[in-house]
Amino acid sequence: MAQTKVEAAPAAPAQNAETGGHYDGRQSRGIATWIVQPEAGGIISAIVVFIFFAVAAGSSGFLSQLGTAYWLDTASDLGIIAIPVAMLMIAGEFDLSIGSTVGASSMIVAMCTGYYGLDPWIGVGAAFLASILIGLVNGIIVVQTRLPSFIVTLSTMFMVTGGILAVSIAMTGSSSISAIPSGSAAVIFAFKWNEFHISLLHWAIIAAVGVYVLQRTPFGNWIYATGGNLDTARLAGVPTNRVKVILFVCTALGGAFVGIIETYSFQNGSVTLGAQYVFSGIAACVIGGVLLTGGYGSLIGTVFGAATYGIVSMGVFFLGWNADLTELFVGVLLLLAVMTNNRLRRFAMGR
Amino acid sequence: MSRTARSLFVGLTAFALAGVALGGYGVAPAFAEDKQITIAFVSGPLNDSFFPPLYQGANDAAKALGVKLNYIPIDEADIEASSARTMQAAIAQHPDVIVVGDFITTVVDPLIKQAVAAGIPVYVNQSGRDQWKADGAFGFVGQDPVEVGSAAAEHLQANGAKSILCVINVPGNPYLQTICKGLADKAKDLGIASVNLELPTADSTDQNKVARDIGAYMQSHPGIDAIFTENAAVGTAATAAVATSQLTGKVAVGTMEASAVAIQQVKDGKMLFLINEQPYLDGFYGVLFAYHYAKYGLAPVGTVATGPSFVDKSNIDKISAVFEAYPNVIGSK
Repeated sequence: MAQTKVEAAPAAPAQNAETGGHYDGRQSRGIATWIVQPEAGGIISAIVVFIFFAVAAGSSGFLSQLGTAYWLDTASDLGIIAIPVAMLMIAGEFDLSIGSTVGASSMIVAMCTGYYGLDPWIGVGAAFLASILIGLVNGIIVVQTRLPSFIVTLSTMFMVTGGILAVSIAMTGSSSISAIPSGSAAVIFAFKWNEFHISLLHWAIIAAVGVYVLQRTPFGNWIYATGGNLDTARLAGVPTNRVKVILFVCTALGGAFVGIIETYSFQNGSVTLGAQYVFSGIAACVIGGVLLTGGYGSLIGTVFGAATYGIVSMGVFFLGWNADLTELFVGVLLLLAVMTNNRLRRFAMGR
Repeated sequence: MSRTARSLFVGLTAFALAGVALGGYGVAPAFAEDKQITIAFVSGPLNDSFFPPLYQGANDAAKALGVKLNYIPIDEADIEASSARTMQAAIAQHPDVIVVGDFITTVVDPLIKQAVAAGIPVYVNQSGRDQWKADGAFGFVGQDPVEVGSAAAEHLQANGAKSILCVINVPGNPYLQTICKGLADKAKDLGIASVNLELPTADSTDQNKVARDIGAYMQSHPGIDAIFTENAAVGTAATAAVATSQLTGKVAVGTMEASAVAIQQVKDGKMLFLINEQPYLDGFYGVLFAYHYAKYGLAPVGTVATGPSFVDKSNIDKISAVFEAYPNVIGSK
């Protein structure tokens, strides 16, 4: 790639409305314009499901402080993962290994802290290092081979899950280990205030940083450009390979961060922890208006997508219905949210 | 040796031992002139915290007896198909004995019959207590899930429970469902209420979410005064939910399986009891009985019960000491 072109007009393809949306949220020109924003669908979904559960389950505790903490905590764990996943999806790639990274980092932390009795920060460092490695492997294989990231990360998902299981069985004979954090690690990863978990703060910070990077920096423009039209972006001098590798590392770091938070806050690490994030992480992004094809989406929308998932998956337990219906109901509500979102976008794009 | 160096040493030693155990080499057979006995052991996956102690027991027995052990794990995410595939793989290897966990009886029973017809003796392990005889197996070691649930109901009722929540953490797993059914039937006999909560698949591996799920369920069902769970992680999630709702002492929690946190909670009185299923014995006896049968044609008559064994404040200290001293004998550390 021509190095002289790196600085040259990288944002141009992204701001072309035909290749995908990098709309400026500061300009408000009425409701029709607002609905054009990619985040509109996510915000509307979150509000609709919140009102639904406030009416249907408000009296059985959904609106109480505890009920609020429950769905916010659920949304925050998911939200931390969903922010980098959304950025990667906007750049046109998938990461199916995200759930296995959560489990791997959980087990690494638990082995270091619980089994070998090392300082919690050593476990944290080891988990982050391992996740950077996973992200680099994903990213480098995807950009070098040009294979679909769906397939590459599907393979690494199995490799990571199988690898960490083999290592933990060989080293400790176990696949689930207690880990009790101490000192500053206990505060940073496991602090709770009235059931409001510190992961809420992390979520807010990560979302803010993500929004800033995506909206206000050249790197953010590169992300939209890479996902919008790869060839055009490359011709315009966007270092698309570097963008993708960095984003794969970010998703893996997000997964590791949640793995550490969940392990320390529950004082138990497990190989299988977090397997569900491969589905719920992508669901949060899609509800939030991120297109599976790349080049289009918003992190504000993703934040509300995670909130929607948190409200739905917690709210059903407050309904007091037959518990067997829970999973069916979560599925139906999520499908409705995505369909509504899709309608809005088609309407917005005049199709 | 520094702590890190020692940790590394322990790790490498464990790795080496695991290699020896997996390979089945390096240990002299009891009688050098005898042909080494091979055992195929079909049971659950090691990513389910119940099975590492079972695996450890099987390996310890294989090492002590000089048996060549081939442990074939069933994939729980695809349990029906995987139960068939793993059993077919075991038959294809034509070992001296097959030890099998008969979790999905409709799938595994015909394959046990097929193995027996092919001249491979089968010993049923952990699950399949009602089927082993009809299948032509030569014995059974494990526990009766109905008895587990029923004993749990009795313990909770004796503690004053009037409405028990039974949490099923692997939706659709017949063994776990039978336990909650055993609990429900006993509760009915005792004249108290019970209800099942089947956790969504997406939540079952996330303990924080499980704690919130149970907490929210208690909010919408305020009458619940006791919770029974089927593994230690869900049990500690339940005590967390109880503590969050400020009901510690008012809602009793009992669980299957032991973990470091669960043991501490029994000591602290936050958890009423653990049911130790003794999976280590399932694994150890599975290999031992298979060995005796292959070599001498000897086996215990009928079923050997490994559970339910109750652990509460009265006997927690011994269990706790063994748990600390011997990883993977009581449960996952």
